[in-house]
Formats: sequence, structure tokens, C-alpha cells
Amino acid sequence: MDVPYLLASLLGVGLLVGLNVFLMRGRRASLDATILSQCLGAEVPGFRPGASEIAGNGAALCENAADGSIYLAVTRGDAVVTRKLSRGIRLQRNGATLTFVFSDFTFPRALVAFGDERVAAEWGARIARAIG
Amino acid sequence: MNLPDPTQLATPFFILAVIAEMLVARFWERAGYEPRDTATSLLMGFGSVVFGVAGAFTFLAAAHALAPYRIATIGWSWAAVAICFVADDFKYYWWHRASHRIRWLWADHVQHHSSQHYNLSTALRQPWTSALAPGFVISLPMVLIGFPVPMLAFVGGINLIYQFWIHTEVIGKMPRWYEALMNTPSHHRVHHATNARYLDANYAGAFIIWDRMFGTFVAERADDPPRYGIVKNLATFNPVKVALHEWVGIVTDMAHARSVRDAALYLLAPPGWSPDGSRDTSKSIKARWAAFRSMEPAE
Repeated sequence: MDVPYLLASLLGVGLLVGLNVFLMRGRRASLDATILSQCLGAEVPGFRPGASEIAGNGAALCENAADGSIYLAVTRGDAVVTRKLSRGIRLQRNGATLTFVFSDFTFPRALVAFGDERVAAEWGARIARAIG
Repeated sequence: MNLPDPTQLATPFFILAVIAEMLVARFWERAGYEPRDTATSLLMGFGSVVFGVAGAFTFLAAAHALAPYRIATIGWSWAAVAICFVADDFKYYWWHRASHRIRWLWADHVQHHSSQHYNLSTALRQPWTSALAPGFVISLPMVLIGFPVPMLAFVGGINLIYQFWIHTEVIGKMPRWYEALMNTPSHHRVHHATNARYLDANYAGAFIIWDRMFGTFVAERADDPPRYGIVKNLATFNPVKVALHEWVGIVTDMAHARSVRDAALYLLAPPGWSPDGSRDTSKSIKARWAAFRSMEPAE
């Protein structure tokens, strides 16, 4: 393994990523109720979509009507990543925004920005009940 | 005998193939490429070359130490190389299977599975921490049998190259005879999928016959298209976090374990194991999926 080979490899990585950016510019995942329930339906055996809220900032909350559990979904590039909300998650409400802090360092702090403070409060209470 | 490093020779082909697949993704939409995901995959590949040096030296040292005790001396011939390739692939199957069933080994291998995309750049998403999960140990019996170390390195490189092209959604199915014998894009899509039906299946490197022989083969179905990634997908593209996340999980769990037995099982049991069964393993996910499926009305 020699240094020129490694430098050429890094240059190659940069060029390939640049080409990817050029070819796929503007493609990002979007979340709507259909995508959200399809995504969770595929990931969670027996999932039945319950109440859901799609925030304007690419995040969403959805209840599994089968067992009352609540899932958070965020977009990551052109994909969607979900987490079941459970004990150990720190939840803060600031006006119409809910902030989720996970102990899992692969899931950054997530904000769910609701249009209405009352809706955020309702979801906050619902989540508190779901995670005990 | 001096042999070229096949993976180094294949690098230009890898690059051209990735470019070609990106163009297919752009104009025919038969593949998905996301720039940050691609960057992570390629940087993981780069890092695995850099960090892999330690593992390679360890293997060479162990192999040279064992070489005097070999039971035969196998010379260079095409037949010997072919037999070595098949034996190495058989070994790969079991190592790969263990890498999905033992969390210690999974902590290394999960890095390869961490992309939610399945394209040729995913093939290059290789772990940085292989020195901590030393796969070379399983190659040592082949040294003792008498295969020359350069031959083992050569066939290992060929196997890696073979596995590159099967990381694609562009190719549907290969001819029937080929699908029966060899690992293919279709078989390997199943391996990378998180659909409950597909979990823990198709561990083959080059020959799919090992999965067929040992009961781990699952065919891809048109009515259940694969979804890629891991059961708990990562919401980060940071390669350092990708490389370390499962190791951090293991250390954290072991540090909080209530007994030595629990600590050992956090390391050696299947990924997702927990003392109270509150976390998901692939087995529990499959069982839940099967239970819900049995309750659904027949179509």
C-alpha cells in the first residue's frame, strides 16, 4: 500500500461523489401519510396505522394502532429512518415543536415542528403515555 | 510465486462499473444513488484498506508460524487454485454466517450492511474494524492443509471481486443454471434485505450451493421486494459512527450487564439479544412476522 495509491483513491472517491451529486441533485425523500404507513407497515410486523402527524421539516410521528406504540420517522437523504419511541428518550416541548434526544448516537436530535401548539401538546402527552 | 493483487488490478473496473450504474440510476431509475450514502460507502472502502493492513500482517505472521506444521505441500497448478477457491468459499460461507449470528463478529460486518441503498458502491462499504473480529483465524486450517499463503490471498481477492458485481439492482435474474449454482445479484439482494422473510439468508460468497446445502437459502420474490439496510437503520452518514456504532453498543451493554454470563452473551449471542428478551433479534422478528402472517386471511 503506497501513498500515491491512497491519494489517487481519495481523489477517485471525491470524483465519484461529485458525479453522484451532479446526476442526482435535488432528489430527497419526502414524507406523507402513505409513505409513512408503507414504511412502517414494511418494517413492523402487524403494524396498523393509527394517528399520525407529518411535520413540515421532514419528520413525522405515527401511532401503531395495534399496540399503541409510537414511531418517529425522519428523512435521511432519499431514505426514511424510523425509531420506536421508548423509555430512555428525552422529550422536550417548546411551543409547537417537540424535540427528541436519543441515547443512540446514530440518531441525531430530531425536531418535529407542528403547525399548532395544542397539537404538539397532545402528541407530547400521548408519547409520555406510550413510553411510560 | 509472485501474483498480482487482484483487487488492486480490478480497481479501474470497479470505478467504471460504479459510473455506469450511476448513469443507469439517473436515466433508467433501476438503481438508487444518494451522494452522502455513496460518500460513506466509498470512504468505508478506503478506510478498510488502510485499517486492514494490521489484520493482513497478523494473518501473514500467523500463517508463517503455522506453515512448518502443514500436513502437505500443495504446489501451484490450476487444479490447486480451483480447489483452493472452492475451499476458501466454503470457509467464507461459515465465517459470514457466524458474522450474522454472533454479535462480536456482527459489530464488524454490520458496517457493510448499514446502507439503505443497494448498489455497487455498497459493495465497497467494507468494515474498518476487522482487526477486532479476526476472520483470518478461519483461514489457518487451510494453511495447515498445505495451501500456500499467496494462493490463499489470491483466491480471497478473486472472491472479493466476484462479490462486487452482485451488489446491484440493475441485473434482475441470471440464467436458471447460473442462479442454481452461483451467488447472483438476486440472491445477494435477499441477503441485504431487512424484510422478515429474508433475514439471515443467503450467506454465500461465490457459490450459492452452500446455502442450499445448509438450509439458509431463500429466493427473492417479486411480491416482496427487498428493503435494504439493517433492522434499526442509522440516521447518520458519518463513517466513524457507522464503523463504531455496534462496538459502542456492545461495550455499553457489557458495562451495564448484571452478571458475567449476561456480559458474555451481549458479546457472543445473536445481535439484538438481551437478558429480558425486550429487544429484537432476527429470530423474534421472523416469529412475529410469521404469527401475523398466519392470522391474515388467505388470498
